[in-house]
Amino acid sequence: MRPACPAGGAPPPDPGAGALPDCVLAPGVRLRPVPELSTCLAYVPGLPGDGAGGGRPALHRLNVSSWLIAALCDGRPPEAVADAFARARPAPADAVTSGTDLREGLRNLLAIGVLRTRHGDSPGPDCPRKETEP
Amino acid sequence: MPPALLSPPKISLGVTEACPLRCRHCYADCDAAPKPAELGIDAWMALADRLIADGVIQFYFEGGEPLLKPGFPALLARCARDAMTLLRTHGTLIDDAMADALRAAGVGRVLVDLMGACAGTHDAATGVPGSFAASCAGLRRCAERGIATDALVILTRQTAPELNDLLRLAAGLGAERVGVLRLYPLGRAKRRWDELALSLEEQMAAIRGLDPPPGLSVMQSWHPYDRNCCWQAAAIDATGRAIGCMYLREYADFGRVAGEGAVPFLDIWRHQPAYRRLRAGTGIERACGDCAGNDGSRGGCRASAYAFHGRWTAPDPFDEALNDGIDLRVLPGHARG
Ligand code: SF4
Repeated sequence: MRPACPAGGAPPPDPGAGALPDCVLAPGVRLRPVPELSTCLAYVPGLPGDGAGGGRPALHRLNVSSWLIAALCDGRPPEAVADAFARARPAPADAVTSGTDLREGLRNLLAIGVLRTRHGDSPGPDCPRKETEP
Repeated sequence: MPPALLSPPKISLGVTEACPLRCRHCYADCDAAPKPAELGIDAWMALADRLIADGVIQFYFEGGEPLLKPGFPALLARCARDAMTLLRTHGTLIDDAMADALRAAGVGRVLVDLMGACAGTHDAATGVPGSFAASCAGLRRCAERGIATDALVILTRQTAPELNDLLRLAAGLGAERVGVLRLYPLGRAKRRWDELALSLEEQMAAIRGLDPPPGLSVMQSWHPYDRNCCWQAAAIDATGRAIGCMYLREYADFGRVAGEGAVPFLDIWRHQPAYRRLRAGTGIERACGDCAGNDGSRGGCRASAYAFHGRWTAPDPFDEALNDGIDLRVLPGHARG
């Protein structure tokens, strides 16, 4: 079973097949790269109005691959995300593996509320991506 | 070896040393009134803005009792907009309105201190009749609102026999986790050490006897989880001193980040030599292989090590593998203060 969307909306679409989902950072999410540790912290704020237990604030630790995906979901179209990911991603660099990892990464980031699909299954307005460099 | 991090992702803020309780072990030696030199809420707001701009993405608020600080909910809400927030409290001030305010502020996690599993033990520790019931009610109110809520308990002679009852109590109130914390020789705990402290053998027996109910997780910092987390530690006390960690409040003063003679926290982080050495962890004399294997840190807690040995590089006597026969019920002369 796919996890419910922690942002409190409908479950994220399954990006397991077909076109890649069109994802952007979810409202209020803040990325905090920690390059010294090869990681990026992602803060997902709780959203007011969610039921008990839903929409809780959380701090996630992203690995390099998830960090890259979150950084690439800056409003560019999904094909551009895929291209950039295939180029920037460390080995193995073959297209099939890269595509699979991107789908998996998008799925995970949607599930933990770091990303949302652009046209709508998380509540709230678009929020510009905020980053703080260490 | 340089410290691992160029800037701190996480920080603890001891926003006040005022508290309505009179705990016999209070590390901050709190009073009902704030200390005269404490930073006001505007100074904390400005500091929070600066820290967030410099990359802090998690705030851990403690005290004293943070909820006694005038304007605290606004500070919490400001930080929660951009960072994970954890609030350590004794919970007695969390009535329905405060629980609603915490939820509205977007608090990430509330950690409620319990000093026993029953009113007799807890209220004797706090010196305030009725505080047990109020703490339990505060914890329950947070959990009922869907706020991630933990209970904390300091392992002492008084709490040890009640630990498993406390785990069941906490689970029943809606806590998701219980943190069992070691006792530090700070503030009033230092002066009443004989009455509070257990030997390491007694502590380990209590830890090994923990039997949490299903669904409740337990955190503990004894072997094999005795971390030296100083490598990432940042803390500011109520008067604006950078002290590394709240457990170092009596041992470290790396400079002021607010008030007269203040410098930006990031400058202290990057340039203060003693702070850099502490975070780099260089020269640690001995480390426990099992604990080091857990997260790559070495030597265990620096506050405990310093308290008992008077050396920053000493092994942590709260770790079985590093204790060297030290009786933890007896504070060495230099630590008695
Ligand atoms: S003094 Fe102890 S608890 Fe505090 S940061 Fe250092 S190792 Fe961690």
